[in-house]
Amino acid sequence: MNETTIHHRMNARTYWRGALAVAGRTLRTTFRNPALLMPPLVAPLIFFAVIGAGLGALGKAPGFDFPGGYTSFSFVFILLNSASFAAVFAGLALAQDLETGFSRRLMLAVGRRSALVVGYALTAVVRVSMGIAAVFAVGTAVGVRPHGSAWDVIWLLAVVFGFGLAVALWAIGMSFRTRSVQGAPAVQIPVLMAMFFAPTFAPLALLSGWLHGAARWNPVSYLFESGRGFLAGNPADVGLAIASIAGLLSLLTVWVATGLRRAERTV
Amino acid sequence: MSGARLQITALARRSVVRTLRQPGAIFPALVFPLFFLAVVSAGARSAARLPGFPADSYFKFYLAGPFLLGTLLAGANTGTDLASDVESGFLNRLALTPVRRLGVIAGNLAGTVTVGLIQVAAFFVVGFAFGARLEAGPGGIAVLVALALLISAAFGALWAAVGIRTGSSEAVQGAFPLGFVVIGFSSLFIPRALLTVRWFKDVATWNPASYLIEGLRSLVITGWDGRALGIAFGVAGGLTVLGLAGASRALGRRFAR
Repeated sequence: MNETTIHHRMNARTYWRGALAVAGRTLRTTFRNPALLMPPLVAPLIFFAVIGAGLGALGKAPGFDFPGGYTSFSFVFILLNSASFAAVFAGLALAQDLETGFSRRLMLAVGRRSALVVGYALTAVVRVSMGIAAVFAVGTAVGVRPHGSAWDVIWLLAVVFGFGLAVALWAIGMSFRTRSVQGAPAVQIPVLMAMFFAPTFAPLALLSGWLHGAARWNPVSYLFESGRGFLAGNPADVGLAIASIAGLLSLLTVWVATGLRRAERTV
Repeated sequence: MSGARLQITALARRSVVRTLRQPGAIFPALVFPLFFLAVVSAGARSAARLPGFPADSYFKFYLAGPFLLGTLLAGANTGTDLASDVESGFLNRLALTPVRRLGVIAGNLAGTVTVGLIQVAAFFVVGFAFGARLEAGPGGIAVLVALALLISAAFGALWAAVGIRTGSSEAVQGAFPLGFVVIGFSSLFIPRALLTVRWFKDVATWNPASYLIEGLRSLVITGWDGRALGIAFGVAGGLTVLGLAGASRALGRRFAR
């Protein structure tokens, strides 16, 4: 092993040590504070009850045909909603650290500052996993059953994680720009709009008017459609969903990189 | 002018001016309900094709929703304002004056009712612009405005009780999602008769929010439904009295300290 290789390995080890330290510290803070932990876990379950049960009659509307009925249909929205909530909160943890000045000290401590981004993204992955587990547990308890193979379920989870990561990158990039928790609406509102200008309450084919037009152009719509296809065992719009996630992740990586550069100027 | 009226007028003026000077308090109370009106009425429009659905369009059916969501948001602002008054010490200074408890609360509700009035006008304009007409006719407008303002006062009084009792604007904001939950578990999206999930139907039947929304909705989609309106006015009046009693009691405790 030559000297350059050893140097690279040490750099990689230091990089990951920094990222894991940020993730560990943020997760510890979250777990110690129920006010930070519970809302992203509980809110999607309340939405599930309100939409799945309150709008359940939509399952009897002409043209609606989804295996497992409206509860299963709304389940995919709730999964994506849960992922987005968890990811937004993980991103806002960065905003809080930037506001208090903690992140500024972290920036001086780590060798490569992108380790901070990786740390907060890892936090988002853990929180998204917890949200998905909670939604799946409740969904199973109320009778939601995947009609496809195990691979379909894995693909469904991949779509949800991809979306969660995209929202986390959005929230991290915005937090680098606002550097304050006061900027939370600027993080949340576009996510909310992306999720509601989509086939949230009915399949794309049953939408009409302006919402149908908006949903067709909204990349998040294809995550809904493909996720529901995987749950129903009848995959649909898979290519569009993969392209949407890849496109979102690419764009948002640039968004985070430019945000980090902007935040670095204040250090 | 009698002492009580003078107190209420002075505090009401302060409340209205404070509310109108905070676009951040008015803007969300207008925009969020309209956003949900747009996406819910477009996304769930296939519900109008359900057998037995009581309206010819889902937009018309859901139009009462923004009134309830908007008044909830405006009411929460009252709670936050009163909690801020506790935090800043304004209520302590007020306690040194011969002000009546009910005067403080009624005065502060003026701001809520002002926002309620702005909301009613905005939601009417949007509703009419998109072709909705009141089945109750022009006379229904006055009744709808009166009911919406009474609901504003009810939510304002209830949030005032929370604001004064906790004395923390953060606590009011933290409790705010509970209001959304209460409204969500009602007949907001689908008429109670068409709810298919048994437990949800039971919750919606026990939920006072269902009767508020059904009263408002009846003027838009049914016409003059004395029973729905009577219950809605009764529930809104009852909640107002409950809120005022709770807020007055909480204020009494604060003044005693």
